[in-house]
Parts: sequence; C-alpha cells; structure tokens
Amino acid sequence: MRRALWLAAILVALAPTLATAGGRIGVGVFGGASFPIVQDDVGTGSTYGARVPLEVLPLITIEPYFAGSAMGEGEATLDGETYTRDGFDMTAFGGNVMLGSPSSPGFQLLPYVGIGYNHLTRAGSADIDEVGFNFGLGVGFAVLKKLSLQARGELNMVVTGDTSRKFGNLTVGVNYNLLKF
Amino acid sequence: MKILRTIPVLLALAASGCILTSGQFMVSYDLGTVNITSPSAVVGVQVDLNEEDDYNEHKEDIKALADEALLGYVKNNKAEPLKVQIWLTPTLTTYTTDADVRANGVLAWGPLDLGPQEQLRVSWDRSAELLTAEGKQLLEQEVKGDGSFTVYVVGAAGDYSLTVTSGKLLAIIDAGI
Repeated sequence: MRRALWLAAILVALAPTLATAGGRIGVGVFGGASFPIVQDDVGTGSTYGARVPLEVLPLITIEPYFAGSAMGEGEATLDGETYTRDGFDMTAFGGNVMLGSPSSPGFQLLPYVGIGYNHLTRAGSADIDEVGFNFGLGVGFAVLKKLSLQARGELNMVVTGDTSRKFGNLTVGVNYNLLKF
Repeated sequence: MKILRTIPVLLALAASGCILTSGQFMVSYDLGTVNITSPSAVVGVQVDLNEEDDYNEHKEDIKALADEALLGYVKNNKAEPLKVQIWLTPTLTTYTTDADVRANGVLAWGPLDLGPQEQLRVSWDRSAELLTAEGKQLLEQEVKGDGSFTVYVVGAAGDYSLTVTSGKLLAIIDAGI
C-alpha cells in the first residue's frame, strides 16, 4: 500500500511536466547479479525488478523502479570450522534520473543517479529500513521500434547511520515503449 | 555541457562523505575451551580485542556493530536438561560463582536449550538470534571503547556442568576503510 502511494505521488508530481513537455513512457524488467562491496558477512546474490522510464525531456529520463535482491550467505572459516550467515533479502523502490533516452534508436550510453527506500532483512538481525543512493551506467540498444535491450552496472549504497552497505549490481533488461504523449 | 552533466553525481558523492568509504569488517576472538563443573566453579574468559590485527586496523574509525555471534560447540555434561546463558562484564573480572556473575554482569546471550548429555554446534544464524539487546549494547560499547571485557558461560539455574570447545567471538564492525 505504502509503495503504491509513493508511486502515485511520484506520478502526480511529474504530471505537469509530462503534460507540457511531451515524451514517452515505457515499462521494463531486469535481472542479474548483486555483489556485496566490502561486506564480510554477505555473499554474492541475485537481483531483479521492474522500472517505468518516463522520457520527459529530450535528454532526461525519470525512472521509478522496484527491485528485489536475495543476497548469498556470508561465510567465516575459523580454525578450520566454517560458519555461514544468512544473506539479506532486500526490497527497494525509488526513482532514477537518467541522462539519455533509453528508447531512442541505436546504441545509447545511459548514466544515471537515483534515490530509493530500501528494506533489508535477515534472520537474527534487526531490519534495516533506510534511504539508498544509486550511481550507474547503462548501455542500451533498440532491437525493434518499441523494444530495447539494456545492460547496466550500478552501485547501490544503503545508508546505515555513519556508514553504508554497498552493493554492485550487474543487470540485463528489456524495455518496451508503451506510448508517446 | 558534459561537465554540467557530472555535477549531480559529484554532489551526491561529496554529500555521502565517509558513508561511501566504509565497510563491514569481521573481527574474531578465540575463546578456546571453557569447562564449568558447577555453579560455584565458573571460569571467565578475558577478551582483549586489541590482540587482533583486524580490530586494530579499524578501531579508530568504528561506527557501530553490524552483527555479532558467539560460536563453537557447547556440551551439557549432566543428565538433566540445561539452559545455557552467556553473561558479560564490561571490565576484566575473575568471578568464580554464577551468583557473582549475575550480580555484576549483563545477560548477553541465551538461553540455548540442551538435552541431557547433548552437544550442539552453535551456528552463526542461531547465535545472532540468541543475543540480547543489552548484550548487543554492551558489546558495541566495548568494541567502540577499550576492546576488553569478560565472557562467562553459565547455566540458567540449578546444578550444572558444561563444556565449550572451539569457542569464538565473532563481530562484524561498521567502520571506515
């Protein structure tokens, strides 16, 4: 419910811009690998999700997203004994701002930054509900008039007080252009 | 124009400051073998994290404790069921009775239920679940402080005898790189 309200609020906020600027709206899904960065208690896992690219200006795309990750087990070997720790399950939603137009024809370079809400949970630990930042670079290629493929590399940084939990995500995805307005 | 495009990214990186240059690092401490033959023959393990290189490498910039566990094998040496607890004292102490430990320490972990003569390998996940809020608070205080404290393994009640082997204290610290 809270997520739906967030998405609705984002769309309402964007409505005036969309009405005057003209642009395109699409939908996309993605999946790939998620790597913990400088985290001794988490292993490599997978990530997946969906996004809604809104091309509001010729070079600006706003992209609400939802993402989920299942991180692998952390491992510690102490005097020959191996202990494992449950990896985090993470859900996130937010928005990216991208320089570029993912639905344009040809090869596209797509740098972006974003902000989102992140929920991390695992057995025996208090849940982490914090803001996260995304910094990434994508490459896109339109394979059909309305269909494009993307590959992205992204740093996802979830703030935890004075420090952060950082994840490197490598994903591939497909975008479909729903309509022009 | 290209330079302008990078400004939002640079601003975000600058705002994140040391949040960006931080990580979660593992520190372990060997608790060894602990043999408790009765409630009046308790033995504490004095921990000095300053003996550990991983701790010394980050101790000036520790922000929080991200995860923690007490690992190893615990055996109930008696024919009656046993609830195992771990108590901590924030200083180096040498109490020999569980009454003294309870009067001066903090219940940090447990209870872990053991059947008669049962030996259990305590997993990382299980151990993290058994840590109390007070125990986590004291551990965090000590990890961020002088790094020295004392660990006592006791039974919750009655007469008991237990043995801990290959005991380890494991802490995941949130710290600057």
